[in-house]
Amino acid sequence: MTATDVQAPAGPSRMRRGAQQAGKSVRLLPAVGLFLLLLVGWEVYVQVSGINSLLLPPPSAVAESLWTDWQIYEPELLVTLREAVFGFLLATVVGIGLAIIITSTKVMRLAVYPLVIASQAVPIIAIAPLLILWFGFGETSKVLAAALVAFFPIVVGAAAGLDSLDSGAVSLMRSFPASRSQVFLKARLPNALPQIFSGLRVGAVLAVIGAIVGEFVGADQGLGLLLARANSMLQPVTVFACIVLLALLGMVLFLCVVVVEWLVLPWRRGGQR
Amino acid sequence: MCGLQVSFGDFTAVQDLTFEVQRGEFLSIVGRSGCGKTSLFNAVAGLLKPYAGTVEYRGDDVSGRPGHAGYMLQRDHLFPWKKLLDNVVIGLDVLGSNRKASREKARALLPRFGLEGFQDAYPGQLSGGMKQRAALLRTVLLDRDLLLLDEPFGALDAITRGELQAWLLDLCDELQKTVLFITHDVEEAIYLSDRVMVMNGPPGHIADTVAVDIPRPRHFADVVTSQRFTELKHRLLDDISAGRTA
Repeated sequence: MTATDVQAPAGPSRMRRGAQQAGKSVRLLPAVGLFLLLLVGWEVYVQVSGINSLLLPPPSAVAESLWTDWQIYEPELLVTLREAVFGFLLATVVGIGLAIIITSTKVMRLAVYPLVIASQAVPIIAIAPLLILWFGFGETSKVLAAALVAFFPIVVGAAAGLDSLDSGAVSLMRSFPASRSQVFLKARLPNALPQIFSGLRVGAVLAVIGAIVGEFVGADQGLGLLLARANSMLQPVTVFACIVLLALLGMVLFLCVVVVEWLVLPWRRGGQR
Repeated sequence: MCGLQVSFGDFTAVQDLTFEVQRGEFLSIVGRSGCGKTSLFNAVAGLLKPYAGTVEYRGDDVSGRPGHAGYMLQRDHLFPWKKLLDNVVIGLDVLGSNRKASREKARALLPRFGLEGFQDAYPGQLSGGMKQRAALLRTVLLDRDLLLLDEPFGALDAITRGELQAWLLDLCDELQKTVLFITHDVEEAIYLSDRVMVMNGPPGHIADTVAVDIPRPRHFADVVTSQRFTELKHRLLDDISAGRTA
């Protein structure tokens, strides 16, 4: 790198940022285009082949159901949303806390990390009935199921991030001299943020899955319950509508994390990708 | 008077090494990579407690106790999440100085370090030379009389490096600091220093100490083409290659 590579932080880079945002909306086009194309293909296939609509309803019917029966979907959606969000927040606190413990000393890493991995080796579907037995059919057991699935990528991401501080940076901080807690708060933690957010993005999507699995196993409300019932009552339109809402739910949570990341990590907005 | 004595018994890094540096002196340590130079610096900075021996600074034993020296490491270690101004005052922030006053102090020094107008830039937006100057500014702002500079220009291209060497020479004249300077570039060592020590190893030991009797102010082209320079360079290079066969 030479002096000519330097860009003044004021005008030009802000213009470039604007151009990047325009570029981002252009990048959305292929995904939207492909999605629409698949929808059209599906609709045409259902109409032309005359397939039994109990097996595969046309997307137009799914959209219509979402529109006319919204008062059925909305409360269930809100329940699942709440479970996923609280589960995700719990997973964030526990996950980052565990990562701090794991990276604090070698003994802690050897003691805690294997248990964290073991907790993931057991499928959530095997643990969920126990959670329901212990915490009932209400939202608590679903929040815990969501948290149990979502915390793993958060622990792994945060632990990797906390480990990634260069030893030279530690030497620099200690030469001032900075205390252990100052090294952690002013260097190790901020340095870990990009990797913590990678874990949070994955965790946000997994939290929805955890909540749904919990609802499948036993619940009195929620999209998962609605979906399971519709399935057993041969209502494929409702099943598909639930699937659409779940997909949207996961994407919205994911986007929320991305927005927070954008706000918290301003230095990552330009360039480094 | 700033007296420093370092001696180690740790065979892996540095062994039985003793030297003193005078107040206001520019002392370079040259040697090939892996000879223990950086371990020596970590000990002098108080980051590493010597296995044997002591580090003394102005008569006090500071072994294993950091805080007396401004230490600039090989890489700039500017934090990518901090704007330039916040990066250079991090040492003062850690020490609990008034945040506003430190930033004012840093802002006043930006032009001298060629960083004017870049106080709000993130390190990712700066060139290599600017990052090294920012790292040096961070070191200087600590206001310590002893500076430890570990290959500050090692990662730069030759042209930037030459410019920064001349600039550092001026700056040191101005600041009147005691400087310990690590490099593996013999020419750089002679051009900048009052005294050059050759370190061979591992385990690291002082093979030779040479006083650079070239008058200041020094002009790079004049210095490197002078006969005295060639003699000194010859002696230092001989010392270093003697260490390899040993």
